[in-house]
Amino acid sequence: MRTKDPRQSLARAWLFRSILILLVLAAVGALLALLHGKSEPRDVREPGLATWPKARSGYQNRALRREPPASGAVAEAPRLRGTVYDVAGKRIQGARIAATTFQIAGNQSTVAAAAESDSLGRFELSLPDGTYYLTGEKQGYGPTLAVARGGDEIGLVLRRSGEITGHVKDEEGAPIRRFSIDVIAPGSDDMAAPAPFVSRQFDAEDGAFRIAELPREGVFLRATAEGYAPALSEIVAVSEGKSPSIDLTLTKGCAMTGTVVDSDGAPLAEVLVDAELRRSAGVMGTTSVDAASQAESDENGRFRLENVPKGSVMVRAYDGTHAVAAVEMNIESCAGVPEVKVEMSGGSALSGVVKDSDGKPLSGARLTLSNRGTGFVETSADKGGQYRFEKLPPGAMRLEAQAGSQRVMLLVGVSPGADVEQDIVFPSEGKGAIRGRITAGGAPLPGIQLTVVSNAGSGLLGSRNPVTGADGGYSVTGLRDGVYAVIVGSTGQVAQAKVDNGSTESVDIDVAVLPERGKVPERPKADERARAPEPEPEEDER
Amino acid sequence: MRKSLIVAAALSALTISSAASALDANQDRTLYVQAFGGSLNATLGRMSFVALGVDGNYCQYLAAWESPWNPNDVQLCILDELRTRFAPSCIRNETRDITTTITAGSGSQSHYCDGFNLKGEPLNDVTVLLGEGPFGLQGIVISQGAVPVVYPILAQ
Repeated sequence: MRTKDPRQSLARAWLFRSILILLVLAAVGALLALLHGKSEPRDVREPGLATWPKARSGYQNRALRREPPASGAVAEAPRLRGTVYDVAGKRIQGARIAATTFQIAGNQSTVAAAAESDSLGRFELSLPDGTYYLTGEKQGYGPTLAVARGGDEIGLVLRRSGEITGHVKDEEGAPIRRFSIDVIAPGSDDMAAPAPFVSRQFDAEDGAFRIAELPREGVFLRATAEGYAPALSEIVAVSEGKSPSIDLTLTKGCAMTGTVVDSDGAPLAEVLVDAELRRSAGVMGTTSVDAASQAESDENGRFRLENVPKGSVMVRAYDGTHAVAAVEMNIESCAGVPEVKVEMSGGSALSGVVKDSDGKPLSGARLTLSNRGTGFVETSADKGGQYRFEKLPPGAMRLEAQAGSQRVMLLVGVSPGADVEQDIVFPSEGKGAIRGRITAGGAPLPGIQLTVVSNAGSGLLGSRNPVTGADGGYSVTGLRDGVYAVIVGSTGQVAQAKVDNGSTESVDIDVAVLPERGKVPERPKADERARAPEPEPEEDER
Repeated sequence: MRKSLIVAAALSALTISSAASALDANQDRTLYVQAFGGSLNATLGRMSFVALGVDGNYCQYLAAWESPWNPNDVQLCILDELRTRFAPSCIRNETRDITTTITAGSGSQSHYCDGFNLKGEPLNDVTVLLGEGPFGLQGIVISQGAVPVVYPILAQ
């Protein structure tokens, strides 16, 4: 017969009490967190540079704004704030806002910080100073994407979404059970790689998926699963009320081997190598889609990429000391994949002087370079107005300079190994103005960032980025004569105005009113055109 | 007398600038992307026009957009040319270069424009805004993707 040990019973009782106390404390903590989350914007992940992933390759995030070379430290930035609305102007609670950067490689977006909007639709993100893609999403709504910087006030407008259903299968038609679906915006080579709008994981025996967070604009759906090459849909645009079906077939893809060397032919170790799919898309050039496969070179510079899809592929290599190097190739069959040699060098440079309209150097102007291979690259003009970007790959770059409220943008072509000089002259100010209101179903939308842009000549785009006030109103002054586009960044809506002889123009936009794609009208007969009414010229202007 | 002098000066300025550009529907226009420091080495293609007549404050044109990199395909836009008080007639506007503003796509009233990118690939939903500049018709093209992308354009 077994007898009870009193010490054992006492220990059990203490253990039970301890667990009970812990459970009560956890419940109280969860309740407090829930209450806190209802009243305050909540950082899902407080960034802090130390907690960001670090690349073994030594790659340094170039999208962060750093102090002059003496310290090289990342500059601090005020918090990035904003409000999330629907198209009726109602504030949306519980939308997930994520800021992404390029911490591991210039073409791979990583989440820098994320937050959920509070009961007033407000969110805040604490980030080091730099340029970020900001995505906003919530179940049932179409996500949105914007470019943002620390200290910006960004209003995001989410529309009700259509949905896409479908199945993911293998080459034999058998369903794949565990897979991910990403919703990706196409982007041209002179843009930093856009972060995925939405990424969802599925575990379904029949390989079925449903995505109900789609923007109105065209996107790719990408399916990925372990051991398979990613599969991409064609570009698909789905608006509210629509629900097309798309099936995606995953293949095993091909293995690709190669070597990374420096310009002397010496092998380079610990270099991050990735392969991107290249697709023609409805944008201004061929677009790449996120890295399909990644690997790191060994001590002999050798690498092996698995599950690389067939078709046009861009292989890029990143480390901490060289410019990103790229090799483009077309894979027709897995048997014929050639050995890849990626040669890394110091790359090209782009430099110049930022000047005001009188030709005087502008110190402290902020410059941002965008390119698919580099992501965003930040620098500032020095006291003499001089700027310099180094370690650049060849290709088309989008260069933007900001001084005060004025911004200019130009496209620059960089040749291999070149030292391109490109001065930037800010255009003079004019006497014109554009003002107006941004509304949603008639209700004012405060905190919405706009782009007011025109061709400033000599290949320059001049722009301002006003933010709407409490009444939804905005005003831009100092505009030269010309044709201007007013763009609501979050919804992509565009309106136009012509400033003539320093005039003040009015442009109102209601984000609830979507432009209809008109039909091609029939050509009227010549005699009908002749009878068409025309405004009478005024006496003074004849 | 003074008023007529001012009007004459304005008309002569109009004549000088109108010699440079605007929309003569009998003349094709090539859309150059002002890239690489301003050199004209990138084109989105060429537009040719058919006049459709008056539409409110605008003269409307059907533009066929062709790309040298995709000769088998043609995209279509509806262009609105603003009727000014100097040039209210759409019959005259379609045969002469008169300084005005031309728009197409979502940023215009007609909301219709498809075109081509720099590689001759079809572009859906493009906004084109053109006005008088020092070198002729210049403006911007906006690719209406998930992130609107703006390009400086010269139409020659």
